[in-house]
Amino acid sequence: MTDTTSVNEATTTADTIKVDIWSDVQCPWCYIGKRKFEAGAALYGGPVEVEYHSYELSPDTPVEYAGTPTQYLSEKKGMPIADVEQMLERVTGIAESVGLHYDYAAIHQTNTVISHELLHYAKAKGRQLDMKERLLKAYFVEGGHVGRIDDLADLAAEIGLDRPDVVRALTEHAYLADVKADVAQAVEYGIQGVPFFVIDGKYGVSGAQDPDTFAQVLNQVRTEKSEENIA
Amino acid sequence: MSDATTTSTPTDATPSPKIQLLEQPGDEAGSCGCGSCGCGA
Repeated sequence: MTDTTSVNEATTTADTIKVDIWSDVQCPWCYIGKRKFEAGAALYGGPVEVEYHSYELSPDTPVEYAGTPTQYLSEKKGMPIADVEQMLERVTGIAESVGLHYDYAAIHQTNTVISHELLHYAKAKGRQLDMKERLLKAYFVEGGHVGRIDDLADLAAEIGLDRPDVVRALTEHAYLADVKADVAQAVEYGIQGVPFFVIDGKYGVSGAQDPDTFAQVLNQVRTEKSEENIA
Repeated sequence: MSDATTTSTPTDATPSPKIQLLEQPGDEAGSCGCGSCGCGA
C-alpha cells in the first residue's frame, strides 16, 4: 500500500515531488525542521508528497528512564549540567522562533522505538503526518510519554485511529521490521544526523535548514523534472 | 572433526542508493547526532 501523505495537494501527479524525511520523535531539530520544511514547501507552492522514516538517536535508552533530560544528556554526552542547560536553552529559543514552545522541564526521556512502530502503523492507515505532529507535540510541548503503549494508543485515538487495534499492533510489534528497515536505509544513505531530507530520491538536505533553502531545492528539482519531460 | 571455515559472498546485495548532499547543518540549522543539541545521540 502506498501510504505517503501529501503536504500541498491531496492527489499525486506527475509534478509531485517526493520527500523522504528521516527523523526521531525525541529530536528537537526534527520538530523545528518539520516547521521549516513545511514553510519551505508552502513557499514552493507545488505538490509535495512527504513520507517520514524512522531514525533512532538513542536506541539504548530505557523506556522508563527515571531522570530528567538534563541529567540524561549530561551522563550521555559527558557534559557538565550547566553546559547541557545552556544547550537546551539555545534549542528552546530556536524552537520558539518557529512557534514551538518546548518544555524541557516536563519532557519524559524514553526509548522511541515503539513510537516509530506507531508511525508505521499510522502510515499504513494514511495518517502518518498527523501522527508525527501529534507525537512531537506530546513529547516536546506537553510532557507526554512516547515510550508506553497505553499513552501512545491514547494519542493515536486522538487523531482518530482505532485504539484497540493500535494496542494490538504495538503489543505484537507488527511494524518493528519496518522501523529497522528505515534505520538500515539511513545507514545506506550515510545519514549521521537528523532531520535528513531526501528530495526526489536524489538530493540530500541535512538539518533544520531555512524555508528558503527547502524552497530552492524543490524549485531546482521541479526545473529538472520539467527538462526531463521535454527531452 | 571439521575445522574448515567458510566464506560467503552475498549474492543478493543491492547497490547502495546514491544521493547528492546539497546542504549540511550549520549553527542555526542544527541536526541531532552532531553533539550540539538536546537529542541524546
